[in-house]
Amino acid sequence: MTANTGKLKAWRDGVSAGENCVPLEALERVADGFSDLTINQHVAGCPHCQAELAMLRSFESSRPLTNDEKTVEWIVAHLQSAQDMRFSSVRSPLWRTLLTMPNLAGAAALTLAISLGFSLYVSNRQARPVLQVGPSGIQNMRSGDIRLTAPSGELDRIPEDFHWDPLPLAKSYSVQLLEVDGTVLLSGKSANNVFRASPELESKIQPGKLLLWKVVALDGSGRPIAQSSQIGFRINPKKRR
Amino acid sequence: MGWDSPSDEDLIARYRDETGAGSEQHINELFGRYHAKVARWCLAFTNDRESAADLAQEICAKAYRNLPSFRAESKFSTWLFSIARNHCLNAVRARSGMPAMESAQMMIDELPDLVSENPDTAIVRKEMADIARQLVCESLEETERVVFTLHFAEDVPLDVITRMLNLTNTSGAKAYLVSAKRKLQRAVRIWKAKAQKRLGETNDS
Repeated sequence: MTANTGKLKAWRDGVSAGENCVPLEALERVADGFSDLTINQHVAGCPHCQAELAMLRSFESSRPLTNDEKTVEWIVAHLQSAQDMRFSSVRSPLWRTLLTMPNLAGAAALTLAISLGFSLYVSNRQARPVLQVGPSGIQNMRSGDIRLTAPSGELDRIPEDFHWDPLPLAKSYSVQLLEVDGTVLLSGKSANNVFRASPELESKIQPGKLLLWKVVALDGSGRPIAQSSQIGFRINPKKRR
Repeated sequence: MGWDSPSDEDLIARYRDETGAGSEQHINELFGRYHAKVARWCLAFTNDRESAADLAQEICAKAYRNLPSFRAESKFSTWLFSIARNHCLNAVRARSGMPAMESAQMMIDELPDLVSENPDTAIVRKEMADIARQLVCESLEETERVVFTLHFAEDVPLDVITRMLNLTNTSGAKAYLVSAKRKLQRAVRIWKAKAQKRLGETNDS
């Protein structure tokens, strides 16, 4: 056992990270195909950096393993759901929590009244705020400005319509259906805040597969003014209509 | 990249510039882009969807917590990879006492011996490591080198290496390791013979 430990140590030392090993930022450039003689020479003679590079490439390429895509989709749905919960808990308004506490409700109301009075007083003494515009002259586009309402989550059947909250300045909307890796499956336009699923779109929706969708609001000249975040949905394979 | 697909760095900049729910949407979108990559990575380590989901969730939570320390010295995906790699390697090491790892001992038994009966006893540990590195680089093919390094330096089990590198041959990483050891045994025999010869010449002179 001791002999084995010594034997393993020699080989382990030989293929472990050394003081000249290059950082991940440099290996990233090698993976991206940039040529740097010094780095390339080191990597060619360093099993550790070669293994790091192989792992980085494996992570980046994200090659699907046989029969694993359903499992990956399940994990992605799990992650998305955990993320939504985290963000919704972050967004949970503090005032709602405070108002459920009896002793704090009165204090909150008083604070609100004082704040309102003060802000009215200040607003009368200041110029009206100006709408911030981007370099092109249109309002800066913000992700998450449009709230998507349906479909989302696990569904019993293929959705007939996609709904979102209307945006007053929008003249039309662009809708995209995407794979979880960001590949656009289909896109379309709508003049209002509803997008009807066409037969072509329905053919793209496979039961059991997680899909994402998002909406971009456009102004009268077709320029983007706001967009939603992406939300996911999946058709339960056993309950497909 | 079009107007509706801001880069990862753009999303992080917007997240840092804004406050409230809007800023969280940017991060939601950013992490959403990498959920599939993280999921596949974790699945390669566990081969079990529940454990992979737990690992993936821990990785995303850790990345989210550490996002303020991201200084854009690398791409966001590379930064996320470093978190995923460390987290999964630690998880694998934590369960290294489990039965699935017993095969590793058998693999060590068959490793060629660089240390005992070494003709040149003056060789110090660092020089021994240099010789080992040289033999690995000169004797092995690229995949053999990577499998050998991941298994013996990073303690990654062979089944994990098989899935991580997407090796599709029948015995996966094990075949590469067996082949690597055979080549290294031959290389060590040659190296020892040369060292013995050099030592003899030195003594004669």
